[in-house]
Amino acid sequence: MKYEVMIVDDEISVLHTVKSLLDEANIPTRTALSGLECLRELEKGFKGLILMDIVMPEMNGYETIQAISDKGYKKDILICLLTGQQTLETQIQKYQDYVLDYIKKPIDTKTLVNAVKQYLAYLKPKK
Amino acid sequence: MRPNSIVIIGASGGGPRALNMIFTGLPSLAGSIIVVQQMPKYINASFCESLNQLTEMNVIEAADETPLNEGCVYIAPSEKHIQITKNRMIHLFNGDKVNWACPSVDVLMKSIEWEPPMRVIGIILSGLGQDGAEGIKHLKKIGGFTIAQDESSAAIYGMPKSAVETNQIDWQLTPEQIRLRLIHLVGRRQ
Repeated sequence: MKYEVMIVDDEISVLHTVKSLLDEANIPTRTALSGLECLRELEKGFKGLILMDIVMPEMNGYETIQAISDKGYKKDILICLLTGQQTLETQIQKYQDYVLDYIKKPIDTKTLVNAVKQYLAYLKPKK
Repeated sequence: MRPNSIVIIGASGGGPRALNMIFTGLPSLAGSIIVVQQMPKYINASFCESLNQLTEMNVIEAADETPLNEGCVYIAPSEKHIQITKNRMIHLFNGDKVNWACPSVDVLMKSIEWEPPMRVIGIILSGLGQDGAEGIKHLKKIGGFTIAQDESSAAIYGMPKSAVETNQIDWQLTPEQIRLRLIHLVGRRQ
């Protein structure tokens, strides 16, 4: 099974920046401009790490995680929030099992790439 | 062999990165380390395997009714609470979430008993919420050492902050400093 990284952000500049950083590290990616697009990718069978923005129009990061949980996408999915927010809403505590990490914007390249590699390694099937 | 120290590490979001830094190059210590990290159940095994590659200690998933051994790191499995019975045996059990968490750091820390000369060390790493704060108070009360990840290095300062606000934290340290402090407090395995 091929695990990828899905970058979910309504800002195209962020999508491009994060994608190019991961491309340079030879990490396969796909992008989604909204929570709804993220859900469509999951319906298509996406497996891997989701790098999720929090502040997005229509469906924010919390609501998207709620929808992921409601739809029962449990296995082979890990979520890492990408956030410029200094404080996180306590509602995210409900999803501690899903959300492994919070990476602050502006993104530090080394931190991002190392974290992504670490979390993709958790998803690799056991030998 | 029975450990000379029990170390309990509690973490949630951002914890895996901090744990990687603590365990990278950590030699085999004369104590037992028990880790509560919130994570999905299906990555429990790969999480153990990943940490095991970083340290000389033996990292394994905690199993019910097994004794603590020195040089071992026990990762609490998801969706079960963990306690240590009489500072010796691992006890896993089903239960409601405590502080939104199962396993809960508080539940584990509060099961540790005062038993000199055994050393007890409680560490709270990155994570949202306040799990571990009550546990830290308990460990301090029974003569333990207490550490919180410092604000600059924590992805989320919620859990460390709650622990610090109890006024029962001895040190606020980066993950690298925590590794060095553990080596100093617990000592290498002979």
